[in-house]
Amino acid sequence: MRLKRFMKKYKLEIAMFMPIVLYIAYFTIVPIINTVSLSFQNPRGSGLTLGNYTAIFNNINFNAALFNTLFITLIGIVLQLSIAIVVALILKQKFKGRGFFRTMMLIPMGVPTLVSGVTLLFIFGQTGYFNEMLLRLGLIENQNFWLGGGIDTLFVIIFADMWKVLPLTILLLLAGLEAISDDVYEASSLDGANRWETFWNITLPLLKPSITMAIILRAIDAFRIFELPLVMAGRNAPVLSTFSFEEFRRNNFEMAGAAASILLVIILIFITLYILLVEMKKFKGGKAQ
Amino acid sequence: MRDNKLLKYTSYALLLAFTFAMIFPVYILFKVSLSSPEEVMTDRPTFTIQQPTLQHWQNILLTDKTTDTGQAIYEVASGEYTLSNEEGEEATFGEGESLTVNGVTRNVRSLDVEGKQIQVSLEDLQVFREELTTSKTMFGAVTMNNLYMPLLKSLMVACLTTVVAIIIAAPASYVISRMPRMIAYAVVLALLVTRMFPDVGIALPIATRFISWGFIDSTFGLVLAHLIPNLPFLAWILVGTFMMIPKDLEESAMVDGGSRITALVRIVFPVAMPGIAVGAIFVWLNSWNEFIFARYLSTESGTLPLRIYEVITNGSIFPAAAYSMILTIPVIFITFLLQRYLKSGMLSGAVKG
Repeated sequence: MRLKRFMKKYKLEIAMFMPIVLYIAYFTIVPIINTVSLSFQNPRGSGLTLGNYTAIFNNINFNAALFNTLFITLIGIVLQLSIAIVVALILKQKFKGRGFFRTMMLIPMGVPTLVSGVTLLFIFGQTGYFNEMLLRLGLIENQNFWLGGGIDTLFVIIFADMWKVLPLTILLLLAGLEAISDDVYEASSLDGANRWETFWNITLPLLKPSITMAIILRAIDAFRIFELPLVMAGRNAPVLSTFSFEEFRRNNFEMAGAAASILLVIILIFITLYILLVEMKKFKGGKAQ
Repeated sequence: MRDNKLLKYTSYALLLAFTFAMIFPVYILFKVSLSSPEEVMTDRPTFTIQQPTLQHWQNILLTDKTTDTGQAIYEVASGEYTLSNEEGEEATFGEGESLTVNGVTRNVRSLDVEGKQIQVSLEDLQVFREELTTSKTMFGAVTMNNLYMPLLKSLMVACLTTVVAIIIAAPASYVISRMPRMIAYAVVLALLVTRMFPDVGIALPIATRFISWGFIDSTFGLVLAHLIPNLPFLAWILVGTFMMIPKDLEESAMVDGGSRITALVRIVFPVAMPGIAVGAIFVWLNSWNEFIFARYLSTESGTLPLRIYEVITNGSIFPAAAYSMILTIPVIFITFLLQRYLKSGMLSGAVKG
């Protein structure tokens, strides 16, 4: 009865709200469940099996993909965060031309990921502009083949990803920095702290919420990386997403499902971390929405 | 004081180096699209544009040849597929078996058998072509100059996605904004979380579903797919907009004798219009850039990003540069225009293009 009254009272609201709920249920939740159940299906015959997972962990390409994904995420985040903090600290200072630098810094954000892959392919190709620059500076004598696979290629992909997302990471940290009140710094300089001590004992702890948020959101995106490895290295540098895609293209749907499920589990871990470490904190701080 | 000066100069130097790294790739893209082949297709490329040429732009803008879909005919002989091209090169493999070429294994069951001939899509063709590296000309040349069909498809998909997203997400986000605070918070968080799921995990069953529905290559199918990340994205943006509209406003409209719906249509939505417009532009941009769903759901008629991918994997770098410029221009323009609306939550999966 209660439900009926509720439905009657809020029928307009329900009519306005249900389409998006149904859409997400049918086109996001159901597919995710399908992918997971697909990964337990026997490709030849019926019934559930763990065979796809044993097969996938014996697959050299998959192991390479898993390693590459973890490497790109871990190293990528460490590098991105370090550079972003330095640049954000510099941009926080008041100096001539700050507005110019801030605007220029946004440029990569206006370049679609796919295009940034194409562009960095021009730069890191064997007869590309990076090799040419190194040659002219006399740092190398022969052109390096950066995109043939291996750690070199992973670093190029990390660079490409970093190039694309640094602007947003810097903006996020900059917002965090600007929220720190000047009083704190004044107090610290009165106490005779030097720059390094101030950074280590004041700035970094106060910036921690922004850093946590940046790390988790970046990790989620880095695990899902798709376009850049695909465009820049193709099969030379598989990652979890591209591995799953290649299996899909070969009609090995079950294997594609298993790879996607593994990726999903990793991402769910980070989503949980995000909710616990970022959203719950925010909520306790009374700043929800 | 000397310490201060040193720090200042290091900061400037770092900032200059950083800014250079941010701008340089865009300059290279621009440069390649305007350079004569001799400056680029060489062991020692030049950094400046020495002989600017509009040739590549003319090639993609003016000579819009239709693409040879490159459909290859496979002969079926005694349960074996034979792949051949005009030059008489052949490759043979059995049905239901795996074909291993150059260390890469492919399952043959992906081919459709129609009578005695099998036609494969351009997509499959390219995969084979990549694998049979010893005979790259296996399937004949594919003409590369084709801008307008993908451009039109990209425009249509992006615009339709935007319109439908507004129609579905705007009313929903209004309702969310009027829910009790705790529930609204949970719903918004749920919206954010759905955008964090891996695209490949969603696209895989969607693609198999769309194959059976016949939605592969269709504009409508791609719009449906692009709504998946963009509905929660737009709703997430708009909840904030509606929350800022005071409840009194709609209540006073209802006191004046209007119904609930008229209050919404006449008062609430018009007031929210600027916010809706900003959200809509971001949605348009997301769809314009989108690559993963398009790649899963297209075989022959692709969007502009797919076109770029196709061109670059074929090694045609000049058209790739020019196409890339066309894809990039609206994005750069809009990003600068709307930079003050960028939110930190967009770090994940939203305006990353």
